[in-house]
Amino acid sequence: MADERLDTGTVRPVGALQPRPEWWRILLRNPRSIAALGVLVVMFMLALTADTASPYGYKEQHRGNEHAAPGAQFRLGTDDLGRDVLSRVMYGARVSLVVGLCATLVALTVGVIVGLLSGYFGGWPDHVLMRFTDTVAAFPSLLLAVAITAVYDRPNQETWEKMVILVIALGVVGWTSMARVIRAQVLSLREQDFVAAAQALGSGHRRIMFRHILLNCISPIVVLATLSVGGNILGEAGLSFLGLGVQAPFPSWGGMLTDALSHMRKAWWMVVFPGGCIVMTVLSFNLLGDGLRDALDPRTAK
Amino acid sequence: MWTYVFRRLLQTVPVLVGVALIAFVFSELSGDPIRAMLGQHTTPEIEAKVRAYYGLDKPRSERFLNYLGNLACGDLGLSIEKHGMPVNEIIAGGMHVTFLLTMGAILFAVLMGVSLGIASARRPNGIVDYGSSAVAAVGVSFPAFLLGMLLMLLFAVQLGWLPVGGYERGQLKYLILPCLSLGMISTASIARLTRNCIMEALNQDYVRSGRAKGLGEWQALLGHALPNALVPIITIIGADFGSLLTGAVLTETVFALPGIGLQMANAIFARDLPVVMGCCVVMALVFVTVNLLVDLSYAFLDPRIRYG
Repeated sequence: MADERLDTGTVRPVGALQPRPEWWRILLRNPRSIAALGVLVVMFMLALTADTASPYGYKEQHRGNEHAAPGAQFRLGTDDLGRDVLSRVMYGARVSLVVGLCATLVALTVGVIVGLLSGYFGGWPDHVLMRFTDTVAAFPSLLLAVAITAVYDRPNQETWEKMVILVIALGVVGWTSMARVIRAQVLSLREQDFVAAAQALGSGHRRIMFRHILLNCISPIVVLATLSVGGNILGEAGLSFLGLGVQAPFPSWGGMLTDALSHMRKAWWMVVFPGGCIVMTVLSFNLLGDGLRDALDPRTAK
Repeated sequence: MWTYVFRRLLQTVPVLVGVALIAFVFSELSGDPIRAMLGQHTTPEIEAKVRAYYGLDKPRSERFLNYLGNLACGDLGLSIEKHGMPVNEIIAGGMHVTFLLTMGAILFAVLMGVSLGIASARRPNGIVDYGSSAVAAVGVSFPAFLLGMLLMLLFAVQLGWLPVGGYERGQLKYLILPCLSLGMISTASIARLTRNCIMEALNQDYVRSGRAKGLGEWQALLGHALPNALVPIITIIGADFGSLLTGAVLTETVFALPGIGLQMANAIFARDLPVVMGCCVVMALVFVTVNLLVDLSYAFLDPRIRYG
């Protein structure tokens, strides 16, 4: 008789916001998303293969070839110390991408926890957490990051130490907007029938928060996270430009622009190539974020 | 109205105390400034004297209260790298340039943004509209300092029309490129917003009635539709003011403009933490004040908005 039991199939919670199943199809139909994905793949390849594929080392100086124009020997020219710009751009991609992604991860973790607790429990936890969020958000964002990185700035730090500081500084600054968006989502989700059903079935707070509510917030979280990677890469470039980035001679795109500032007359390529990488990468993350929003969230699609 | 102003003012108090607390905690975390200042060539007596001069010989709690009290009186402390020069003096020296720079940038952003927005709204999906949305997409991905460097490369280095950098009092030509590159931060968002507001307003009954009574194209656009964009534009300026201030730090560094931002950048390079923190506190203060003014301005700009 066991075979005749009512087959309920996989039960979808009623009223839950499910992304349309073919979201990646919608994403790949958008030429801007494809271009963005292409650029990002190239950038990640550059960063990953820097050790083996870069023509020279990032601190290898070619005496007598200072300010060499882009050509056969140096594809993107050399800088004021005779270092190959292409190689430095490739190593610099590591800093920008890793810091951009990790800072987003930090901001996302804090933002999800704060937003979830605040929206789910309401009442005084909501009040306290949101006032705190407002206070942090009242700072001019990058200024707080400057303050944090300036405090932990010591001479001769390792590259990874600097990157951890950058990640924390940008993460500390970036979580407020995430928390607000997630709280708003949670507020509308927790009144839905499937949450009441889960409560009726005896699920605990933790299970409802993470299994039922958080999983239904995935779409806006993915979109928000993608968009914020671009902002974090811009932030990293700004901090590096001010000399708060990774320790020289290790290159970062922002730091390369600082070097370029006093040598622009002789070498425009010192500005254009690292700068172009920043703009293209950030633009790609932004376009990808927009594409993901159109694909994942039909309500806000244009 | 006045109860709203009072409540709004009260809300800024925790933010300001938070700013002071963060600045103090950061200064404490940064290690011993006296050691860094004197280096190795010193005797314990000299060290103790200098420590007492900066008030660093007192316990931490007392120092925080002193710091708060000084801050309330507008005293930001003493520079370490510049041998005891008051931070106030350093910041006051740069105030004038930074003020001109940010105001010029806002002016430029509003002028460019509004005209682009009007042009796109007149011909939706036309060339200007398409172009300005592309510029908007690229604009938000452009670090302001990079735009500054590219403009400098073109107009100062290649064409030689404008000075490469530096500043002389009263000479506006030194401010043109910096204002332009800094203003681009908000130009794109103002343009998109103006376009959307005008398009929405043009579909409203009162604009149709105005047209039926014989309003010209431009009168309908500028007199009837544009004022609707005013409140959102002010909101954008308030929201972008933070990135404008940090953008000013970077822009002043690029163009060697002697404003607060350049002082801050120099202090970062010299590891002169009191100056860095002083600049942060002043900028946070300006940011909070500007946002307060933005909130209060709504009632004057749009008579429909009333505060309870």
